[in-house]
Amino acid sequence: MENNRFLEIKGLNVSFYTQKGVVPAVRELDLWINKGETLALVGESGCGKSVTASAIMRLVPAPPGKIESGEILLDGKDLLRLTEKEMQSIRGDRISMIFQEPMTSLNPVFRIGEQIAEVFITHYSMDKKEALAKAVEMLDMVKIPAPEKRVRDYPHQLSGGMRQRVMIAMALSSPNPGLMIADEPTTALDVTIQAQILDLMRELQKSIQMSLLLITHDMGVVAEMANRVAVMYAGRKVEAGDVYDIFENPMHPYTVGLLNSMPSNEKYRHAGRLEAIEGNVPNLLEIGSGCPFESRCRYAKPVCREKFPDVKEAGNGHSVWCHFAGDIKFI
Amino acid sequence: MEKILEVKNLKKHFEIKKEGMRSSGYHILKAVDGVSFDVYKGETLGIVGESGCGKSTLGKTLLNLQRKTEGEVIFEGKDISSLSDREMKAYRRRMQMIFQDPFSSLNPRKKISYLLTQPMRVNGLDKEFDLDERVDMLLDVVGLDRRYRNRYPHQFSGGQRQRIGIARALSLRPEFIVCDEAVSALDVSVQAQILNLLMDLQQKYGFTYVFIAHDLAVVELISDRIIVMYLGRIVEEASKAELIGSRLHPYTKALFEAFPDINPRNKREKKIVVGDVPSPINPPQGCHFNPRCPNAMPRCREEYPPLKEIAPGHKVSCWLYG
Repeated sequence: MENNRFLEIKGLNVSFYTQKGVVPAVRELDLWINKGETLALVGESGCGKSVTASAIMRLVPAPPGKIESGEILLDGKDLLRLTEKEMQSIRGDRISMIFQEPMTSLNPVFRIGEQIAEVFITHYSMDKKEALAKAVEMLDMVKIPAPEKRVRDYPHQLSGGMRQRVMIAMALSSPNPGLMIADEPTTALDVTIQAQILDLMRELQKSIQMSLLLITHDMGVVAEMANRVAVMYAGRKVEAGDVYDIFENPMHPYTVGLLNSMPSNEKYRHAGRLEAIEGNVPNLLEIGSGCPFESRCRYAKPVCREKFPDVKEAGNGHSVWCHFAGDIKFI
Repeated sequence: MEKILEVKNLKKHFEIKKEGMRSSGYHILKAVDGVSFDVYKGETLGIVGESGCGKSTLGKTLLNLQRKTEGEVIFEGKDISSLSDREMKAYRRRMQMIFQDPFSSLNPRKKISYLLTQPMRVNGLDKEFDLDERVDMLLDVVGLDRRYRNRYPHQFSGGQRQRIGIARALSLRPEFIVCDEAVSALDVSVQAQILNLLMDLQQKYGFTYVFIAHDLAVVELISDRIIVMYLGRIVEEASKAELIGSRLHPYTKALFEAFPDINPRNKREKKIVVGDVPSPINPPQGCHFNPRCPNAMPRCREEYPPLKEIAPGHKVSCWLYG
């Protein structure tokens, strides 16, 4: 299966050097994405999921950010060792990215057609007329109605859902789309629009065999889209596995807490209190060497404070980083 | 059941200046366009809908924080929507609002103890209560450490700030509280804590909530009854059980189906509604949902369907049902 991996992250550490101290945003992260699959990276604010995405694109703002160590392998090449120029040819070609609010990534003073056409001019050396025709084709592919009219629109003339479609069209315009990183792509959208965008992403992914790294806090979106899931908490990966294993047999107390916190969880449908996780997400500046979830975990023992647990394997690629994984009976 | 609030044909229209430097006309944006419903004492009435449906405008208009265009909001027999600001003051104590992020309404240079007692001072209740004691009590009630009284707003996390927002709303001992996207900005694990807190407080003090949110799961969890809005109007109103079991309006159905299930084995197969929510400045003629509706009939394009009660407590505005 090794050679089926499109991208592999090994031992990634990313820190931010702030006035108050060093914030360890991502620690010892191992992650891989197979060809054509969807990996969901899930967690709450400050867990390091977006920083991970920026690290893959080599877009961690430095300073204050710094990739301390690790490897990010694409076709056997370590992206962290490439020159900025080499990296530019990877961005937007092999790896593309879409964000939560597309308005901030589209240039407000250019027509959307011109912005999509630029991809074709840069990567395929097409002339402008050809490239604009391709842009119409791309808008049609992401199901924007009347694409030949819409290419002439400016970003502000489009709705949020339409703008996200334009971003997807741009991401897919590259010659060799291998991986799309989608950072909370539907969080700012209404739920009926979210459903349309998720459908579109799934369809396109199937038709061009692209890998998708989906970054989200919404377990509902994860359940709907992912093949595999990695759960992060305060900079650490705490559980990873097949989507069915994660939802049906979660083994880390944080994953269990996250699923129980979801108001859409069937067991709360007819009222009743949620089983919330007590306390707040810890301040990364004050995090020690132990398990970062220790302060909120109802099963924590002294060892949890001292040492980050070794991995425990539960089969089928289901890995958990908890000292007591498998021993805890969740209520 | 005793009614605490009666809303009758409430409208809130805004004038929007037309684009272009030379044009002088106005568009009329009908944010809330003829909405009628009752709120019963001690219940939670959920109001759900997507952006532009008018739910937040409705919330503000209910509390007269925004002047209505037309209609009535009757609180204990009195139409409060016609009261002057001065007359309204007596009601403000009893009707409060909780916002999405209270941070913007908390003065960053004041300590929490000051911020929590501000509503009491404004309302001249500082003689009635021992303010120090009230601060401790409020912090206890919303689950914050009493020592936090000397901290400043920026020293709190999002969830803690929402607890402060709730404490402030509670400080005047209100009966009726409008929660406008009160948990939307929070991480799920914290959101669950705040939802639990709101439910506990209701049980303890018998509050009536109007709970406005775009997140269907949250509304479904906390509400007794639910109103679904689309482009300024109510399309369906029913008890929670009724809405879960037999929702009728095609928009309500689409909304429920679009909401991702957390069971990965229930991946949504069916294509739901198409297209965007139209602009409320120029809503489609006839039923506003007709261009996106899978069941649209010729009549839907001409006439707006009335909100009709088709089972006890279950109202729907759709030509499919009458």
